[in-house]
Amino acid sequence: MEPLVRAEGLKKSFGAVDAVRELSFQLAPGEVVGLLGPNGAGKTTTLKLLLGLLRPTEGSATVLGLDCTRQARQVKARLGYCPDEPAFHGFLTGRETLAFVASVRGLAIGGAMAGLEPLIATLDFGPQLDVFTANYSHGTKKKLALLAALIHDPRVLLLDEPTNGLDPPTAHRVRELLADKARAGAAIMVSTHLLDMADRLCDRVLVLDKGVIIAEGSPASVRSRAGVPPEASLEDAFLALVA
Amino acid sequence: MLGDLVRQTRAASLLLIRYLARRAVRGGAGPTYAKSRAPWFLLLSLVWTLYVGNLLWSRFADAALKPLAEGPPAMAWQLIGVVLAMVGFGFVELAPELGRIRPPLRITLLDELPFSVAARLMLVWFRNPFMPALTIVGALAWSPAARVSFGGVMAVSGFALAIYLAATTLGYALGSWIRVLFSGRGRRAISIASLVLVLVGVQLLVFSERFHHLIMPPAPALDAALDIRAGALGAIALVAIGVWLVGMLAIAWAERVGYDRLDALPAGVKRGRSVALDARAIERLLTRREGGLGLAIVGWLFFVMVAVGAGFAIVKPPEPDVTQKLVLGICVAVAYLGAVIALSRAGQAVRRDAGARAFLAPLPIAPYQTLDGKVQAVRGVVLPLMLCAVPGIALALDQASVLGPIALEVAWRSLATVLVVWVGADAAVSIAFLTGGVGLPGVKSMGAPTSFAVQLLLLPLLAASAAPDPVVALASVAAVFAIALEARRAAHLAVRWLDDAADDLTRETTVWRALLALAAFYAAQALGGELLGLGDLPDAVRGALVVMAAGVILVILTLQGRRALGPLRWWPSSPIALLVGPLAGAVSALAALGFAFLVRHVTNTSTPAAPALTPLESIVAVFAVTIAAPIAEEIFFRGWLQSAIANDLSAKRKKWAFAIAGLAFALAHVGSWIVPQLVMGLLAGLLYARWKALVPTVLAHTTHNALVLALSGVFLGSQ
Repeated sequence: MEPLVRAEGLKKSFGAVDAVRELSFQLAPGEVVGLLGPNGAGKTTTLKLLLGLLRPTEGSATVLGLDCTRQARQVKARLGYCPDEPAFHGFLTGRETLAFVASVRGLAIGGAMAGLEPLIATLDFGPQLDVFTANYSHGTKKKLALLAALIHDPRVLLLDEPTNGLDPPTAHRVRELLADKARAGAAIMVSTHLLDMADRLCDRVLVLDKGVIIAEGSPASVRSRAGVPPEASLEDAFLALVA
Repeated sequence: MLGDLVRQTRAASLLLIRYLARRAVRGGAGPTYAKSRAPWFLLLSLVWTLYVGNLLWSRFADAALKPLAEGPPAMAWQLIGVVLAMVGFGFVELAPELGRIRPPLRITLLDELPFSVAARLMLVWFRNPFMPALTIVGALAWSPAARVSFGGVMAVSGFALAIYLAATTLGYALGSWIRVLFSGRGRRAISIASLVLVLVGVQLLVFSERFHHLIMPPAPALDAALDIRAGALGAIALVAIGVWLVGMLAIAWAERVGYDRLDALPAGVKRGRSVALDARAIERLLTRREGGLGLAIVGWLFFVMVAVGAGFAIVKPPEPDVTQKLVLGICVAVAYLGAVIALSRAGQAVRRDAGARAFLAPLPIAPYQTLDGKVQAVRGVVLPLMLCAVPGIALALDQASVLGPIALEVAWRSLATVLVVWVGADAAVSIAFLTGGVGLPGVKSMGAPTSFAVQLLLLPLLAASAAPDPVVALASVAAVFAIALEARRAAHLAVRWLDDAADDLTRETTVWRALLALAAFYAAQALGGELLGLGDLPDAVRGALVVMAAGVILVILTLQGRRALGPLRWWPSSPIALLVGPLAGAVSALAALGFAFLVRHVTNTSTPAAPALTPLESIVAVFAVTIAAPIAEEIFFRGWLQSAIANDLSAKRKKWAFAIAGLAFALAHVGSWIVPQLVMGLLAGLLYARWKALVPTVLAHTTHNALVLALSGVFLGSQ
């Protein structure tokens, strides 16, 4: 099957520091891929390169066959992205924020909001819809960012710490939601440091350290690569890999 | 305890210095300019502010010191006005409901750290160094007797500083307690009242004479007690220090009781239907909620007050020249306020977007696509203000006998003013994009777009409303239009939602930077004229010295700014150019003289004879006009501006660079004959386009100026 996301030899330097180096990977439809790594490993940089927010120093990436740098706008139109630290216009309510996103993405407002209803119920976001986003807690902002990322039902989702700040029941529902999206054919890349979540959700993980992929494969194969027993947690494998 | 205070004050000062330096860099020239140049931009900006302050205050000082038939001068009311305005300034610092989140005071870090009240207040006082500077200049303008000695200047400056510190501290204390005691909409209303306070203060200052006689009975005792010349200076300073101490204690107490943060937004809004919120609608909605309407209402109040004050001003026998000055004054005030409000709204909108980058950047929309929406929203706020000016002028001219002769002037001046602010709003938003840095991460908490870029806009904007005739007004509107066009082009070219600062450094075009240098040239000319006006020099010599000083500044800025374009070329490849240059100068000089002759014939006016000069004075004047000015101007207009424009244009359009630079050259000479200067500019531009060398164009310029200087006496009868 044709991959939806393809990165080849990606490298990004900030001055003398190489944030990522020689990064190559693919995302197939229906696949959930976890991006794991310690702080500063290059996880967020990788997502931003795919989104066209950063220009690669070397290499290239495509999403749905579109170049992430030269066709950044078209890529953004097709992607769903949830940032690690969401920020909104404080003087807009959640509903108005979603209406703006729908409008920018060229969707009919009524249809888009109706389509979001089940998601709003899943995330228990209804009571927050008409509150100014300046008054949102971190978790509520994260929920709104997820809704904004999913409003156009994208085929490719890039999520930076999607369950960070969410309470455990909501985090559980978000994992199920993402698994549903993948079953429906979406390709999802999740950057996370919650290894338990990666273990349960991801078909495949990429372990990054200092900008380089040091292990790749299913959680089970990463365990064997790290030389830890199959019943050990992914955390044990991760610690063995980055030690 | 004292050690803590010293350490905190030191930390606050370092933060402030860095903030000012960065603001100067961004406001002045963007991040591509080396950091080391920041102090220069800051210094020039400060000098320019002092110049404008001096100009303004000397007008008020005339009113304050003029002995009136009914009693002593109206200075007391002016002083009260200044104090009220400054209390308002201190208050505005703490008025988040106006949507003014003021860095660096408002950053969470400072709120979270145990910063002492004294250190925090120091940031408030000197966050904007132009305010205390203006206060000092004002007090000096009031005190001609004190200005003659160093001790007198120091005493008056200290007095002004004490007043400034006391009033702003009082305003800050007021704001602190309102934040503790009130919430929600009440606080919002009170916040707007802080602006009203500033405006009432300014009104008292401007119309002190009228208030003195028409609203209050003459109060000679009060005037005498507050008259700076009467020696009450020390007493007032002591009172000011007392007020300052009380204010400090009040702030410290407010912080102990409960100094809440920015969670002042109402909890929610009515559940509305889902409306389409495109890039334009969202700007209108946000502008309305961020306090744009409140500001417009305050603006409206201001102009009602101006109109009433203006009405008073001509209650007594209407004199045409007084009325004319009044119309000019109202138009300048409208243009200035319109521009300031447009700039502040634009800066706010851009900073707001920068704060929400995490949300906006992943969307398939570029920052410049929000530009039109912002321009519309800014105009929506400024337009009511403009429209208020019309009844203001009408009310002021409610004298049929006066209105008749100057009706035409009222018409063109109002039109030029409204037009220039309408166009200026576009430039304001683009400047905010360029200096506020939507595309740059990490600048979201920086200040409003100020200093150089703003002055670049303000100079021709004010010139349009204060122009001596419609042609000059039109030229200034065209200059603002050119700036708006270039700023928009620069904003479109480069501003992206990028996360890598290094990728977004080409935001400013070389043409834009050249226009900034032109603003410095203007400022230097105006400032030099004002400074030399203090000495007893003939107009011609003063003008010559100003031209030379401004020329030096222009050359320095040009040599620094045009480095990307490679070295300047002086000599042409062909010697024919050295003959063609003077010939072109002679042609344009003849055109200039013909034009002057025609104007004199049509308008039937005569040039007043200039006073006779000594030989040395004549040499200085001739050197400035025929040597210094041509060299400096050619280095800038041809060596930088024309080359930069040609560099920016596509290969097909490159040939038109000479026309744009020539037009800019004509606009820069807006005070003199604009049409002959256009001929000169176009011819010199063609010469440069043909030979890419400066000597032929300098020769043309020199010949033009020398011939005009020599022959104007013969043909026009002037000296």
